[in-house]
Amino acid sequence: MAAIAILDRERTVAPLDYNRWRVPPAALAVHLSIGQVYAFSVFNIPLSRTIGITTSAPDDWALSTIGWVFSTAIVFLGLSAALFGRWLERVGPRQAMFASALCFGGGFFVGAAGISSHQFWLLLLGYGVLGGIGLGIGYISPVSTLLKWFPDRPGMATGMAIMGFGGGAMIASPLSARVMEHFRSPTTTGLPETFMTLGAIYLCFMMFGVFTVRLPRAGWVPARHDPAAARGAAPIASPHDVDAHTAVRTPQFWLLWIMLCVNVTAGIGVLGQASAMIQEMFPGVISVSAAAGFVGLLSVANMGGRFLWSSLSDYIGRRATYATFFALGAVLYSAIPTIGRGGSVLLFVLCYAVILTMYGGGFATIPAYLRDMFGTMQVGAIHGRLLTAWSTAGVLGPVLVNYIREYRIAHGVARADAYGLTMYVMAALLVIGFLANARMRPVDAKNHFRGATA
Amino acid sequence: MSHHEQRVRGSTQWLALVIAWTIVGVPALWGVAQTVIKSLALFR
Repeated sequence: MAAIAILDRERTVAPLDYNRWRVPPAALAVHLSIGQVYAFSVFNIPLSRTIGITTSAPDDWALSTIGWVFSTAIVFLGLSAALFGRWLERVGPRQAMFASALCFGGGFFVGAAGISSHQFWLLLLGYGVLGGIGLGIGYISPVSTLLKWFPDRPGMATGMAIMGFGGGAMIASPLSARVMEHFRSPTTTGLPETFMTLGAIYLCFMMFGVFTVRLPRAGWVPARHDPAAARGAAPIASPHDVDAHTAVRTPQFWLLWIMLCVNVTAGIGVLGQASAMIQEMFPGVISVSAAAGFVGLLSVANMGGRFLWSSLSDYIGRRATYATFFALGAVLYSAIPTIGRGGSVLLFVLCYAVILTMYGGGFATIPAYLRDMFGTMQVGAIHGRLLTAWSTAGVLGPVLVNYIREYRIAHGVARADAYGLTMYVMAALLVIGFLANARMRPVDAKNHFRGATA
Repeated sequence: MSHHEQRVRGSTQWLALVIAWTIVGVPALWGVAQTVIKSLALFR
């Protein structure tokens, strides 16, 4: 029982002289781990050859079947973030991060058993369902803790953690390739061993976060912090708390939902097609390896944008930051077809890099925007529910890009020009986001929480 | 708490801070470096 007691919320409260800069590494340990999900595609080819080893055998899993593992994980990310948010606020970050580590690491172990026995349902249950639940709980668990530790710089604090989610794939992709290479032999793909090894690594790394995370004492504020001055940068920010049930009934929640959804739809749609897009828009100029380099560059832009834009939002305010995303984004998306026709690869890459910084920035700045509107009391739970916008965009973005492109090519449009209409549709979506952001007002006083805090 | 104890505690806090950032910083920088090296292919 003593081992369980160490996870209690009360045991997580920091001593008076605790240095708050020790909390972001705890959050990063979790987010750098769960960000692995974006590198799942490195397993696609080996998973399709678990029987044939060098080529796919008739009984091997098809790539379209394997695709369901990633999709299931993302669906369960959204569902668990929405469902477990209030539980997280009640039990505190340590218990939630512990549950996340067990689910995410355990997902790899169950997945390894599924690969070893060639039972697809077991792989789906392990990495997809169990791992997906770990993803959802892990994604939201450090957010409200960081907001409480950094009331003077909420954007920067949550941006740091969410930057880790963007960077997780950068570690996972080369790491997975090296571990697979180590275990591969002429008789096996080495995937079960790889999954076991990665599960153990991520479990240990996340446990570092579990035992490092601390909550500030009730009423703690950083030295020289003036809440009224801090709100000056965010004129629509309110010092009042709103509980999660009430928050989802306010127009502010749904305006933020629309904003996150359109920002992610626009970004995810082009991110998934980036490699094909640059090769088709510059035929004969961009090779396959150069296109892979382009995708890598976009990942760096996505990660950097998470920290830079969310930190900037502490100075210019959340509404001004999102207004910049939507206005500048709409201009850049609209300019891409013209730039493509102009033949300037450098300008094209630059445009895309800026777009991807704003895609990442949209993810990273949203928790601070939620804090401005609904306070910190249940911001983790509210954030979890808002992430359903991400799940929606995860379907909407690729579908829009793929279907518009295929429709245009089927109607005789050249491949290089097939993306033009898609870019204009994305720009139109961002205009909707701009209008939603412009309509944002403080939450009505009747929705403010008046009971005892949880 | 004596002055000496305060100094020891302060040093321990700083050491813990440096270790914590190193544990997450090293793999993160390794991952970013790998990606940047890969992205150089775009400019060759």
